[in-house]
Amino acid sequence: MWKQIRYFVAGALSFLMVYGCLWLLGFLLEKSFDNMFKGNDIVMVSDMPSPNHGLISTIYVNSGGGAAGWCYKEVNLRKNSEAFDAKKGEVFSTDCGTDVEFSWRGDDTAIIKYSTNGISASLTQKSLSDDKAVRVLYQTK
Amino acid sequence: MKRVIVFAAGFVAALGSFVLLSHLGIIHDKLLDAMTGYDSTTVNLVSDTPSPNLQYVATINKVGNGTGWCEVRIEVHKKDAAFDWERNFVCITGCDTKLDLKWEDDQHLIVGYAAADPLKGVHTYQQFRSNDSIVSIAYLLRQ
Repeated sequence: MWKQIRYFVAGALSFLMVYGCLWLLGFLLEKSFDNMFKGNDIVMVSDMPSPNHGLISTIYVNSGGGAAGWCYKEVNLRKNSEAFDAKKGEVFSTDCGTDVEFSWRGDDTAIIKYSTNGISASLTQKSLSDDKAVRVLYQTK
Repeated sequence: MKRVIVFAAGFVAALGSFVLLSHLGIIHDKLLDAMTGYDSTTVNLVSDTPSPNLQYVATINKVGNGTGWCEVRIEVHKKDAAFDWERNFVCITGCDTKLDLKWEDDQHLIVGYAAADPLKGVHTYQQFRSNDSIVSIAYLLRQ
């Protein structure tokens, strides 16, 4: 009797093993697809130094993920002595279709103007630069 | 031979249980949701702001679940009309965003928003008209 139960349980466990293997295969395939689309492209749109040339603002397009991927237009601020790094100093991000303009008002105030399509917008906005040296104001066009 | 039959019976029994539980909706999505906390989504009304003529209401709802997901959604809808918090929103932002709603007149709503931490910034999804296109919505970042 115990032997028969053992075979029955072994049969049930073998189903769970087959299911687990299929699930693991799907999981690994999904992860490998994720890794394939992980990279991003950065395209510089414009640079603008502050009046005293101490800081530089950059408008750039950050995209990736293939046809179903993402595309953002972003603005970051950095010291003139620092190299551009898309992962640092971001103060503004929106959809790629948005028209973005940047201007300086003195050395400590930045103005970002952006257009909207009149239907919707997705925005990430910071009012201060990471080092708190620059105040960022926003205007819609 | 008998061992093979018992083994196969165990396999089929497990497969059958799996199919049955799937059909009943107990495993797969629901089980995963329960494990990850997605089944605990709660919607809390934060405020209702009626338009001056009381025909429309701007509603702020705070939604979240056990995984730590928390966001605020603004809906603009006719008074007493049923609305779907999942689909009929005009604005989404984080739970830490400070919001203030003000009706300029019966068809113009102003949504003021500010980041709780200016260094962290604020993320918003903004729609400029209500779903029936009657109410126009303007957004103002408070700085």
